[in-house]
Amino acid sequence: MNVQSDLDSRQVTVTVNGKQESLEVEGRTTLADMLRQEFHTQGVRVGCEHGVCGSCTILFDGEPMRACLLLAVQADGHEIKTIESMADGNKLHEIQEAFSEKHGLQCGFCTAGIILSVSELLERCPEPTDEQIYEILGGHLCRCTGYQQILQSVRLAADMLLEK
Amino acid sequence: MSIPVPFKSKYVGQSVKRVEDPVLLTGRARHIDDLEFPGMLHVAFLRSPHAHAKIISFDVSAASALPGVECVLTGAELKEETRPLNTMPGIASGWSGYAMAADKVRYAGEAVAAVAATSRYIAEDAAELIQVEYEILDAVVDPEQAALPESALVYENQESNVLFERNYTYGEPDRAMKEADLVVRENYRFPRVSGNPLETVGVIARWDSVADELTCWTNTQSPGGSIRGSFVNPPGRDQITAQPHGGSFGTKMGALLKYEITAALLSRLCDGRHVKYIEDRMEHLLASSTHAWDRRYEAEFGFTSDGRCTVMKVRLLNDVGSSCENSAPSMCWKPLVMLTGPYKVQHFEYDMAAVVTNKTPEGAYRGYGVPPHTLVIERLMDKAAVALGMDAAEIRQHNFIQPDEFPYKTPTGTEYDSGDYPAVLQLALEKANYEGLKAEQQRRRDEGRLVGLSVVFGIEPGGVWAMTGPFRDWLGGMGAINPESAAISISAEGTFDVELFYALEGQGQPTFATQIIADYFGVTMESVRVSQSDARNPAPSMGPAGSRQAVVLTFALIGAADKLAARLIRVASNLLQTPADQLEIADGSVQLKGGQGPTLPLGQIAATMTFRPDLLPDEIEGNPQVTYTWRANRPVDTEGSPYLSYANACHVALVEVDRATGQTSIERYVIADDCGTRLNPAMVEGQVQGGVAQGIGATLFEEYVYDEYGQPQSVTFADYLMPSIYEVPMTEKHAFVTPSPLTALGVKGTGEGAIHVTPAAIFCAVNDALAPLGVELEHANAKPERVWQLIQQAANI
Repeated sequence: MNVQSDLDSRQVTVTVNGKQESLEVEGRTTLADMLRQEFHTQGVRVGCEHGVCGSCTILFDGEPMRACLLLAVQADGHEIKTIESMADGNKLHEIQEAFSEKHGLQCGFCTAGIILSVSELLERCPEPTDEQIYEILGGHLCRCTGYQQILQSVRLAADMLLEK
Repeated sequence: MSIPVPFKSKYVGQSVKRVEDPVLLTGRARHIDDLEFPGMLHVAFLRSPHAHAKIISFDVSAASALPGVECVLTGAELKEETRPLNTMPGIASGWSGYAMAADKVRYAGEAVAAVAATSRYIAEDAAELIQVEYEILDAVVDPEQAALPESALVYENQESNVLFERNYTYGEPDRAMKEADLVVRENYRFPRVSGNPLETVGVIARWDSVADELTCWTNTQSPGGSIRGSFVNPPGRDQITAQPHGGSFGTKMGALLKYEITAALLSRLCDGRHVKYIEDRMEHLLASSTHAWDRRYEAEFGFTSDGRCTVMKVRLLNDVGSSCENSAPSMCWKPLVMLTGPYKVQHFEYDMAAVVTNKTPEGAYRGYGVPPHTLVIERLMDKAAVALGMDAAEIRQHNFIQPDEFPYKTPTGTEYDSGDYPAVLQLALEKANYEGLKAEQQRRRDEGRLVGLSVVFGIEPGGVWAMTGPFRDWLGGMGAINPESAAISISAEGTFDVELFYALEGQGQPTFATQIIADYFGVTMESVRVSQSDARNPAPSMGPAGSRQAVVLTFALIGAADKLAARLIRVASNLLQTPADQLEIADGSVQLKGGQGPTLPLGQIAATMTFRPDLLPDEIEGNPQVTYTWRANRPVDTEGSPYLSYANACHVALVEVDRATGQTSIERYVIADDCGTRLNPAMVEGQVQGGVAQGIGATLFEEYVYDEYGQPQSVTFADYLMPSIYEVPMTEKHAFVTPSPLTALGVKGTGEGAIHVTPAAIFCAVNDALAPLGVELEHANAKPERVWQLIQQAANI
């Protein structure tokens, strides 16, 4: 096996949280690793590396995607948002505020991915039914909360954003 | 609800927002994998594909030659430098391997070699280039076969695979069983499961042999310990620190040791560079020493004709996997502190044995062995109820320890502190509309549907303060105290800084610490900041385990606050020329008792201590900071309870089993629970709901399956099924409060209660659903295929 052949570097230009950067990455580097190691957006939490848990969810051109299942080179020319883009300085986003209000997190490891998925839902669908919320949360594993306070948080977040 | 607090309570008892949330919600908490150091190396392991095999040879030449590889370490080389993983006293000594396999592998996934390289990618490439020659041995897979004399041996230095056998007999169980009007018996199995936090286990080690010190940054639940004893040539000193965890549930304790040792040695071999290892998920599922409760039970209970349980006999066979590298097998002993559950039973036999097999080693999991035991008790109560024509709720009411019997001494010597079980059960029944549910069940049964209803009850030992009582047997007759500490300082601005001695874990300890200290000194929560101590020599702490922090940290916080308050009052007494016994602290000031006269803001006293120590009485230290280490003032004897508080809960579940698929859906789930004073009710509800989810996982979805060769079949989240929001019911929770007389503020531990009771609730409900078919599930994991097979069996009867 010639290991070197897997190491071809490519030039990638990507916009992360509004800031465009060009860099060289190995062809096999995952998007999650590039975001964590090159962009230092360490709020991208890697939970399973096989696309089940949803912890590493990011917004890829506005769509929730698993950063562990994408290669960094696939992000070339695309726009990515991570949890680091949500708060305005120390002012939490309404969704983050709602999660705090309703105790929608315990250890917080799965939370970043959930908040990004929820932000996409509430943008597309400001008054979601529980069924729509379940569909989004169904793509995320949380081992601490048992989901009840997450569900309550998402309902509150929708209300808060509507009142905004 | 009234809270027995020694101060005006503004925040304690309220569902205030958590103070740790902003860093978690913004992704700014620094988990172990977020730490970067210049020149840091990354580890990948080569893991054994065989469950049981001799290692004939290693060839690491190709791996070592790969650019970017700094060091390759084989298990054989590691063995020369280290001691076996289990260095604890007690009966597990001699039943563990090393941090990596040296001569033979004992489970599929056991590490045999490690690579340190400039990136994880290169390290994994190199690991694949290592050649290991194996001679495959017969795998010991089935725990009952493992116990037979003809079985292959997991440890050649032992005479058999039986790790221990113990019999604990209380009263006269044989006589009581003979005299019983009704005897119910059954065999049960509990599935091998684990905590599976979303963040796996990880470590960064730096062993600088010139400075002669080793530092391990980890995500351990219990920082502050030492691993020096693991090395043949140990470092002069070592320090184990902890970063915030992405969940733990017991998994982040003993499981870390093998990785700490390996990363430390690699660091020493690489001239003291930082060396990082983070398990990936497959490694966690395959090989993290965290699997729990692979248990088989034979149980037999005796009853009088009017439904009084007189005797319980429980025989446990525990499969600990391949190694006793941590204290997890002591999970067999924990049920001894709540052996008869909430029931008054004087005759008991608890017979237990544990065997080693060629499977992943056992590790601690939330509940520490109580959930399967509760399931056995509750299911046999149900069977007796059916046999006697009694209702499930009625038979429990009939056997409960009564409210006027507390403190209640169980046959094993444990003392339950307080409770009102009949009232908790009644609350659950009322809120569930139990009679209505029964009618609903009957109506749907008449339509031929498989509907099950359960009412179960469980006890939650909490506030573990010592490895004493039954645990002493595990430790070879020794006991150990598990203290907890807190430090508080006050600034010249009157703000408080509180330090805890373990990492952020998720249950909300910084928040209730803030609530307590703010109320104690009569200041706002914003005036109190709680952080993790970064002291080089931290005060003693066991960290979160055994439903203990609400109990032990509350003690430590109030002890520290008392110590600081006494000092502040002593200084104020001098400044105000007023006897100290006439002063008190209220609203952030020292004032005359009764509120008359001048007040002195606490910040001003702190400023005096810092800037004008000449004004202090001679005997007072000019230091506005105190550390207090709490320990229970109880004897560490063979009797008695390692736990201070005994919370309790009643769960009522309504389920329906689909005849066509065997799938169980949970339709209603009602909980009444008594965990004493609730410091923050929303946080308690979060603990309960999270425990329910894990209990549902264990009984309906999760299971580590091995084939006959010891090959693990559950190594991704596509095979090991973690419950999602679709599988976890939104439960209805109701509080009943009996403050504990033994703890500060009347709290009882509550982190594990729901996982104690939920498996029983689901298991009993599924069996109730199947009852009309005349079949019964013995395996506690009621996954669809298992239930479907039973339904087919019934059809063929």
